[in-house]
Amino acid sequence: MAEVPFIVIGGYLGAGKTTLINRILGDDHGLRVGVLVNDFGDINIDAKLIQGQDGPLISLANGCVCCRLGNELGSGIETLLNVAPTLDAVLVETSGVAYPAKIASYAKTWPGLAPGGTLVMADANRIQHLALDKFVGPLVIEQLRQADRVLVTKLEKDNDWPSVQRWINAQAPDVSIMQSHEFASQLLFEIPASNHSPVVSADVTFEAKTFTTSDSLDLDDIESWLVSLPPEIHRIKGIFYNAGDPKHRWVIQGVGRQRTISTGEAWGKSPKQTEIVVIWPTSLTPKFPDGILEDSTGLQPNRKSP
Amino acid sequence: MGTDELTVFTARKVITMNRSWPYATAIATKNGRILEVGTLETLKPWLESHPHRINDQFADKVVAPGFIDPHLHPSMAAVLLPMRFITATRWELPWETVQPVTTPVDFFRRLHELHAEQAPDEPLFTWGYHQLWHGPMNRTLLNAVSVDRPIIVWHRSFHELYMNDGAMGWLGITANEAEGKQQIDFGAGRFYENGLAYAIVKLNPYILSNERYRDGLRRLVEVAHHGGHTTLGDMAVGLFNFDMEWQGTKDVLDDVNTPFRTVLVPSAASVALIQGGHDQALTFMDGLAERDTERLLFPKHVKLFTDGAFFSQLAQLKEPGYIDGHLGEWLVAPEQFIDIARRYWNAGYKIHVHCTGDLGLELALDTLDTLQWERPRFDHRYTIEHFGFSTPEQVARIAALGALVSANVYYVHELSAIYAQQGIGYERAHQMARVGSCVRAGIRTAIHSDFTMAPASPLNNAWVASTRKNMEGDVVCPEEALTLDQALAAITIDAAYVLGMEDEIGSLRAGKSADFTVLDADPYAVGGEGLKDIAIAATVFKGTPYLING
Repeated sequence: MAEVPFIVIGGYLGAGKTTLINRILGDDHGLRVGVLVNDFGDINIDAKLIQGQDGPLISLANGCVCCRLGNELGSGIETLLNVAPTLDAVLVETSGVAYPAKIASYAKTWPGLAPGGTLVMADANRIQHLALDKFVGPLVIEQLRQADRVLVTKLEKDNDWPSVQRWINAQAPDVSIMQSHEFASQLLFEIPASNHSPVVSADVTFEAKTFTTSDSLDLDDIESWLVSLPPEIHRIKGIFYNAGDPKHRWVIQGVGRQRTISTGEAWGKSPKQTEIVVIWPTSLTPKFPDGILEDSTGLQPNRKSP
Repeated sequence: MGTDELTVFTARKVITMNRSWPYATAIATKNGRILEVGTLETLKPWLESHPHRINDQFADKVVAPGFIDPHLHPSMAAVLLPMRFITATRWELPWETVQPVTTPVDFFRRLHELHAEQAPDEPLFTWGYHQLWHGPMNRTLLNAVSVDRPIIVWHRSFHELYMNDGAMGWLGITANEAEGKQQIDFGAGRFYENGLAYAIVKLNPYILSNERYRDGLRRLVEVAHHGGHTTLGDMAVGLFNFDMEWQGTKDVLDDVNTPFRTVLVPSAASVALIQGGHDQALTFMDGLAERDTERLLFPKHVKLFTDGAFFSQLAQLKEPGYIDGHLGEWLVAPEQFIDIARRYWNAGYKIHVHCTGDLGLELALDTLDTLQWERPRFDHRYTIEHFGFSTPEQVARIAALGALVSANVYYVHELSAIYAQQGIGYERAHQMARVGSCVRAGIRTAIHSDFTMAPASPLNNAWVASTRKNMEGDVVCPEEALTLDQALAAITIDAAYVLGMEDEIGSLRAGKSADFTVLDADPYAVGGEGLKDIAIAATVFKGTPYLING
């Protein structure tokens, strides 16, 4: 029986769990993600994306399924797995006062699930204050310690970043930390294993290649290049220098065979440089076409840290 | 149906629990209501003006106000009671006396008997297995009883269960999905912790099915009657599912033969879940009183929770916490707790707060302090439910803020010794359920069973409260014992007060409902030590006698 990675999104109230889930549900990542949430009220799903609602379940056009949790996590998991047996991942949004490790341990028991790692969200403005709270101080510190990766939200000044990292590492020495906005949906499968969850997150790992050029490109050229890409490519993302519109960045986004090209922000003073990243599962070996774009490096932006 | 005839109950002694008029030997009633409490002599002004009938069936008994358990869970009882008990201790159930089974050989002998007794197409659920008495348990041993009939052996603690092949097949649990999983030992048929949660999801369609749930509730009616209750507080309607529970409650507990009333206190969180938010929940709650019947009442009370289960050591503790350093649990974020409490406080509800640890209690008290500052209320009946761990200083705050206490004193009996050893140490473990201090501080203090957490027996609870004897027979912190009189008040008038029904029930006086518990012996004669052994002969609910074993 195929097992689906079970990924826990924890963190205290207001840390940004729902925002992250909204992003994951709205992102065009091509993954079929099942999400267990506490309350639909906070989930902000674009009405156009909703294909149908049936009791505690909402199905989305992009293949994702959202399930409202009732009294028990177990029945939510069962509902989800029964309705959507071919998910790529199951995400659970914990309550703000849950111990994420306790929730994550379900994955080791529940038929159909495999451990997928634990993300804990932390509000940069609030976390240090909460850690001193007489009611929840020990809880929020324990939540950080149970994380495989801490995602920091609401950082107002980049200058604060080192001190926030230092503080979190002082509470949870081994944990990997990143800012939430740097977090892409694919990284869900790349949550580093830690001493808290010895089982490696998921079998899916990715390789990436970056294609760059300083030449301007015709829209037709780029479109035919996209079509020529091998089918193993899972995700594509980047900007290019469009000869037809030299003022603006042009943006490529794509998951699976769905790709879109759109106008982006003005180049301004930045160098007009085409830079496109393609990502594929490590288990596959795509053959790239020769042509307009050179392969710059074997950049591997999303590789698991050792 | 009204009648002009009065009924006069006579007794060897009537304990009224009315401090101003404490004892009597006769009670005049009409249409289920007390007209006067006194003697046949003093009742004459009534008896001379109205046709009457003397009911002397309890003339040699002691009549007390009908017992009130202000906090139990009919829904949990409905799940447990249909199971067959095989237990190391003796259980008096209305339909059977369960004899102690204390060896592995006897356990399986009894299991064979139950297998032979039960209809062939029904799954067999047992409860009470414990390895200390009953030895190893696994699928192979159960298959030896029957491979085909589903057999489910539920552990005494509720925290694990075992299944035979028949049960696994019935539930569709296959090696393919369950083998190699943690907390499921597929080979042994053992399911625990998360594995138990998995098994329960599979079992729920059966154990919460209409038929079985109603059978469980009918058994609860018998259990409650045998315990001498005439009023129950369902202190968290919606533990499983509000609508399902309400349907069952209406079908069974509202039956004209049910000898007690049930005060229904919905869980705010459960209602919000079904109604889609706390605003909608409040609107829904405001409408519940329209459902009131003679036996089912929604008197604008609400149940909130702060910290985790006492039996699981998930109570939130102040310093120095648990010996092993583990942390307790919040059932809701503290900032959400005050937000929810404020809605109900401002809407005039009487709020009951489940608090097991002293830090959970601190949150409940800080919240009450804030709410009193924002919008003062007198006679608000904010009640601390369970009251496991507390500090003496918190008792003073409870009193100062005008709150009440409804305590599970059975904790002292079952857990004080083990929690001293494996939990929090002697000093704090011995002071659990600090009810003596509460009464001394002038706090209205009730005691409850939280059934199925403790036996549904008010007299047994009153015995624990007045003796503070634990399972080992040791007296634990006698400083916190209640006097006999205080203990009786805690299962009658003070329990009525906690449910906001003291004008109607809880003592015997002119104008109140004719609810009695009829005892074979006088509690004041046998003393606190003898409370648990007093036999209950009958109850009277709204003037109608319901004999026990009669």
